Amino acid sequence: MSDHDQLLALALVGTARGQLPAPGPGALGEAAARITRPDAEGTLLARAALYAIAHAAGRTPDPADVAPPAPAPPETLPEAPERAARHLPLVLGTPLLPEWLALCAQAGWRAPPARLPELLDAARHDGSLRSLLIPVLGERGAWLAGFNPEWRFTPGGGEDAWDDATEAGREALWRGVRARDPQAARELLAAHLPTERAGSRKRLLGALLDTLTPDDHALEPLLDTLTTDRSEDVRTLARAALHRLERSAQNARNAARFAALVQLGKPGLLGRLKGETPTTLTRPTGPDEHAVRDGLPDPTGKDAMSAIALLGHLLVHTYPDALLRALDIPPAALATIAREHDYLQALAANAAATRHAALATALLPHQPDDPTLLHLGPPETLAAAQRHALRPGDPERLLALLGPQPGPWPPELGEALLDALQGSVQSAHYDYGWGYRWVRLRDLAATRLHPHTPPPAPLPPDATDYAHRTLTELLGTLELRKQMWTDFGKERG
Amino acid sequence: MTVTPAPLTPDAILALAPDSGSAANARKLATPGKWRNLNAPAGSVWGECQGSGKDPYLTGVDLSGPVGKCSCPSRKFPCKHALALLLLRATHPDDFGAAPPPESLQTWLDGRAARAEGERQKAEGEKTPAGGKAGPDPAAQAKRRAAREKKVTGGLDSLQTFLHDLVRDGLAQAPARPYTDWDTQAARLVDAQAPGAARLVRQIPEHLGDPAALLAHLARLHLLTEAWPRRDSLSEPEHADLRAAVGFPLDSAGVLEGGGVIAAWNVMGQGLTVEDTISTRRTWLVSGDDTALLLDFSAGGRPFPPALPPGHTVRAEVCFAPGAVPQRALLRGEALATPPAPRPPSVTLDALLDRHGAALAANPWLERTAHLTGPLHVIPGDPWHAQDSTGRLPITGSDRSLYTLLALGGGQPLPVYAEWDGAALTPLSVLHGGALLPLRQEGSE
Repeated sequence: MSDHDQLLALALVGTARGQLPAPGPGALGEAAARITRPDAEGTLLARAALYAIAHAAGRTPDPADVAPPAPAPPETLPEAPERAARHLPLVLGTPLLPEWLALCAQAGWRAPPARLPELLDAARHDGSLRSLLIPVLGERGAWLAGFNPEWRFTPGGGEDAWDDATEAGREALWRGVRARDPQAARELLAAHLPTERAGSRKRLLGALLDTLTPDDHALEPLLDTLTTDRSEDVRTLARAALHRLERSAQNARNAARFAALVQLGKPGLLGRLKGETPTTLTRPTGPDEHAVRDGLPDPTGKDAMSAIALLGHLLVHTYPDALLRALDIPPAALATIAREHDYLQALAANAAATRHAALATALLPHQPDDPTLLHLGPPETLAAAQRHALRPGDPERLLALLGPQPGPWPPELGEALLDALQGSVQSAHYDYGWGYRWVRLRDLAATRLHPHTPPPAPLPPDATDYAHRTLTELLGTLELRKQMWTDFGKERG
Repeated sequence: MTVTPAPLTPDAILALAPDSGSAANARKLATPGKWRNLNAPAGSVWGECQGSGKDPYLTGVDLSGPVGKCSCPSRKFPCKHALALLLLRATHPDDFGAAPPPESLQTWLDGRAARAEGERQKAEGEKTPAGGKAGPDPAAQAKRRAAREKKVTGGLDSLQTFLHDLVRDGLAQAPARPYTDWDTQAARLVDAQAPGAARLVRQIPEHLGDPAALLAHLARLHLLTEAWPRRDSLSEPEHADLRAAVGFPLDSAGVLEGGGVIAAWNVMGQGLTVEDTISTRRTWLVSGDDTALLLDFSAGGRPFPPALPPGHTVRAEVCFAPGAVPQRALLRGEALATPPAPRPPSVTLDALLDRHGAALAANPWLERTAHLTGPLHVIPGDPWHAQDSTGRLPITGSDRSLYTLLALGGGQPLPVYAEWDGAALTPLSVLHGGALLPLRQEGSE
């Protein structure tokens, strides 16, 4: 035991319970021996001070016995040049960050290494940034994320990462892989989904639905097994995915059921004039062996309802093209059938779920105000509806029509919206006085207007300070975005 | 006459903010749409910013500081408008014209230039500052001083008794003591006008889990109680160190009167410590072999005085406070931006500890020293480590700063400017691509 340890042992039990140890040989021991005080406590503390300072002053580095981390692999993308990177400290933590990330990815650049921890933290808190960040992480970013479990949503996590992750972590991990390599994501799903817990299966299927493409037909066998899953939520999600995969067996079965259920009649004169075809429904007679796994309504329930209930189910849950082929009818005829039986909303939901433009276009004459159909239908119709809503300045309708539209918006639309915003803000004194819908429209405008949208005429002199401030800020944001576009070498494109 | 200094990066500009709120507001204001008449004539920038009122604020920045002047009512320096103007200059240089500023700003700029010229001439001329001012009554001063010393003597005496009691009962009993024991003892020392000793007492609970660290901490406190009665036998610098450790305030006027070193100083790094409601900002300046530590305080959320731009070089007169190891210093007059000066050579971890040890031998109460060290590998873990060919040391600081070091190095070692406090290195800035980049101490915004 060293002199210091002996002293510490006595200090722990107390000088009342022991003898002061005699310092050993050596320079430090000799120096300590020369320190004496009238009382044992004073001597102990004074010697301890000598040891403490001698140790602190004489400290050497600890042995270098841990290998430093393996270096990051060489980069494949160039780093964003200084003129583009200088905007990052200003847009981090603001709604403009997604645009910076998107511009950087479009330019084929990667984020500067010094900013990576901040960006990864931002994406950790805001899941919507992750798919934007991953393309600009560079090799360095992917390497760095491996050192922090909270950054596991990035590529390169590996098998261990999956096993260690929570349910939310696995979803994040999967989404990360999905953004980078869809095939790898499908393999990951096939490998893990059957053994995941129900909550995790639900999350992963939800993530798959968010990113489903026709290429995911490869997943059909897996999804088929999930249509008989123990969890009802999982069954519903699996059917929803099969519904959106046009060539799935589920769609084929539904199409066959549809063909058996619906008979087209011969239209009368009036019907011909209106372009309508009467239909009759024949309810199925024999048992349907796939009824349960396909989630069909129970035909043994209320007999009278079953044919019409079956029609409703098929109109919502079958890929539109499968329905059209089954009866060899154009989308307009399908819309008529739906209207006849009061299922227009149901068919519109189908068009929205499958993002089916032709069906949406056919449904629009029946439901001309439906914002979802307008967004799926022809752009001219949407633009006309937006122009129409801008003229009277109806903020609720504008929000519905503009909310789902990704930016940058065409300059004509942006110009008209700026005019509408300016017209309505003039006499407002604060956010609440203006109305939350206008405030939301302003926030949408800040991030989605084309940065080269021409500014509106100046406010009239009697406009409120709030109006001045609001417009100055909005135009200021546009200026900043314009500069960002220029610095990313993107002029008007 | 006008030297246009190296432009500041957005990070360096944001580091000038007196508090994080100013930095956030400045970022929002840094768009050309909010400004009229943006201009950058030689050596300065100016513009008009639309505020909440009808009339815009007129903001100007003398780049030699950078020092701002603004017609806004803010009492923070630099205000958000001045910071935003500098940010705009960095991000939208094309939006600036070259028109001269309005008369009020021009007068201010001319005044600054004239004063700077005057100081330069004075510095080149006589070295001794004029000491003509009428000092306070020496007799009254001596009386006050004697009264305070008596109080401190009483406070440290009772502290010594307290320490003896702790050791007699055994340190194993210490963790079982109620918190009020430490608080009461600290409060007594505050009453005895020994705030430095009070601070050390308040730190005792942090060490209760580690007996060796506890004994070392108590021993240093004890050293304070033993040195004070013998203070007349100490040399003048040693006496000054003791007084600083006990918590006597620095005699700023005296330090400034003594004159200082006029040189180009590298602003190597900035550290921030928050204790109770007082934040302390440490700015480390290096010129040749000299290292100076500037301390700024902010109590109760009040803004800090203007900061020096980290990573840049300033020309300033630095006056060292007396002490066996000259470290704590004050600026006399203004620090002006100047072309980059050579940075100090980087030392190994082993050499860093040697230097720290030498300083500690001269001033046993020295809390920390700072050094450019490395190149260092950073190794994540609990705790993180920094390693070079001579060994490794624990490294601490915000997660943001540690991960930024890792990200910049990418597995390759980098030279780091770091504080060493006897337990861990705290990195303040990193040398990367020829530039010294400040590392943020706070975790996030």
